[in-house]
Amino acid sequence: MKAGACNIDDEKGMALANQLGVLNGGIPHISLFGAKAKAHSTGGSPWAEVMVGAPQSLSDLEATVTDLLAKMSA
Amino acid sequence: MFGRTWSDWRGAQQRVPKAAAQCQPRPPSSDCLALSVASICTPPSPFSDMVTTRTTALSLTLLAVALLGVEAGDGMQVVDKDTYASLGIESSDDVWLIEFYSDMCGSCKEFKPTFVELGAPASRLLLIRWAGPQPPACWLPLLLLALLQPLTRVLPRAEPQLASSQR
Repeated sequence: MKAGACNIDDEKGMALANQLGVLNGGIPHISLFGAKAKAHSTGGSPWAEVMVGAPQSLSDLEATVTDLLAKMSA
Repeated sequence: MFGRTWSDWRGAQQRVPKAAAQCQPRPPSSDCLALSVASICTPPSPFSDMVTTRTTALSLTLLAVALLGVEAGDGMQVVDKDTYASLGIESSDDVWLIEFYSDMCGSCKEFKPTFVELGAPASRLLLIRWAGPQPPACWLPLLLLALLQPLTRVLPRAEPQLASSQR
């Protein structure tokens, strides 16, 4: 797994966020991207949502990511 | 910086007055190629080997940093519209964990350490990325040359022009 960060204060960052439509639920927004995430997601979005708007604890996020990765591998 | 003062350098040139006049285009060689890139014309002198080697290495290092904009980060790939497309994230076989945030968002700032820790296993290695424009392919041999140049100066170089001027 690779990790990245998109700053929406940056013009190109905001352009990407608008292109993907990830800002509807607020920030910070964390999602999984990639071919597997796209195949797993519902509603035609290219990501699998991990956290939207309300920050969560590290343990909760790890559990969510682990669960999503397991579903993608299944 | 090079262990010789400017007056030493000028004095050496005065003792060998023809040296400056002999600073002419030399046949293509690794030295001339490197020096032309760094816009440096060093006349043959008793110190030319020492000065040329150090100056060339320093100049090319600074040139590479200035032109290529090497930047070190905390391992997080900066993602924007361009990198999202160029890295092929959407169709990648790898799974990407990406956070969208704003510097003006208080909860984003508070959450940043958590995300860094969450993404740490994925970004344990320090990434070095180009922050500048895409380098043309012709720069790569020059950078390789700059790295290898110190290895090519094991033996002192002969100075036939200098020897003939002293006769």
